Amino acid sequence: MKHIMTLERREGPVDPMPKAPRPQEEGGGPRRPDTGSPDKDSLMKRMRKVDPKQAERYRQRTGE
Amino acid sequence: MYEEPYRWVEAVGNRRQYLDEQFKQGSPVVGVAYETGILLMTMNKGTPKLYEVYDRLGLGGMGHPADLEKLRFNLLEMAHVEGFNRSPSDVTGGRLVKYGIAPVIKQAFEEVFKAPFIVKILLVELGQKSGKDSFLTINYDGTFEEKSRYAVLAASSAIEQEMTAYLKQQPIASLEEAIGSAIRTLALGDRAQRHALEEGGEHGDVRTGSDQQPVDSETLYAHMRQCLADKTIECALLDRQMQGPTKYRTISLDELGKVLPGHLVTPLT
Repeated sequence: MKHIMTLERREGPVDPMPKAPRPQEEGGGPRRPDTGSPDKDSLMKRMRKVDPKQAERYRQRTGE
Repeated sequence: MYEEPYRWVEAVGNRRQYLDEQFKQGSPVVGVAYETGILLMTMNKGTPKLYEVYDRLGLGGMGHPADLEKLRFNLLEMAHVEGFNRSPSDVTGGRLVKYGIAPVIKQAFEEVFKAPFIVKILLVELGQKSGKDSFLTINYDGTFEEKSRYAVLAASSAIEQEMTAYLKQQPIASLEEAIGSAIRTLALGDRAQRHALEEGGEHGDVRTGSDQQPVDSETLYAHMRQCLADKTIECALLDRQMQGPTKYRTISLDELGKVLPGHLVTPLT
C-alpha cells in the first residue's frame, strides 16, 4: 500500500483589522452615491429656475 | 483640566446652572392645537420670537436672540434644501429636529470649551387632519420631546409642567378658546417665573402647582395686563383652512383685540 504524503496547508499571518479597499482599488463595481449636501450658495438661483414661488417664500422667510 | 471624567461632568453641571440662569427672565412660549390649526403665542419686547420655517412648520423660541436667529436660519436652509432636493412633503418637523438641529445643539452644549446655544425651541408641524399635529420641543442640551396637542417653553421644567397641567384642563376646540387658554397659560408661566426670581430658587427649583392654590382666570388676566405695560403679545397661526401650500400667518393686534376679553384690549392698543 502506497502512502501519499500531503503537505500541511499553512496560513500566513493576517492583518487583524483589515482596511476597507479605497474606491480606486474596488475595480469597476458600483460606487456609493455622493450624498453630501448640495451647494447651498446656488440654492436660490436653482430654486428660482425650478420653482419661483418657493424661491420667493424662501426669501420672505429668511428676511432677505 | 477637563481630561479627567469628573472634571468634565462638573463642567457640564456648571454649564447647566449657567444656562438655567439665562432663561429666568425670558417670556414663555405656548403652542396649542385647535380644530383647524395650531396657535403659537408669546410675549416680546420688540424682537419677534415666532417664525415661519416652511409651508406647514412654525417656530417659537426663547433665549438669546442671536442664537435663536442662527438656529432658525439653519432650519430654514435645511427645510428648503430638503424640499427642493426631495419634495415638500419630505420636510417634516421630526426630520429637521432629529437629524438637524438637536445634534448641533447637543454638540455645542457638550463642548465645554466653546459657548453653548442659549436657546429653547418649539417647532410645530400642522398635520393634514385635526389630531395629527405635532409639537417638538428642544432643550438647550439637545434633548427633544414630541407631543401631539400642546407644548410650552418656560424658564424651568417645573414651570413647564405647571403650564402643561393647566393646559390639559382647558377645553380647546375653537380658535377663540385656544387664544383664551394660551393667554392664561402664558400668564401662569410668567407669574411662576417672576415668583421664582423673587424667591431666588436655584436650578429652577420653584414651587409648582401641586403645592400652590389653583390660580383663577381673573388673577391670570390681571397679571397679563401688568405684563402688557412693557411687552406685546405675539401670536401666529398654522391654519389648515388657508388656501395654497403655505399655512402660516401672524395674527395682528387688531385681530387679537376682537377675540380677547375687553379688559385686555386696552393695554394692547
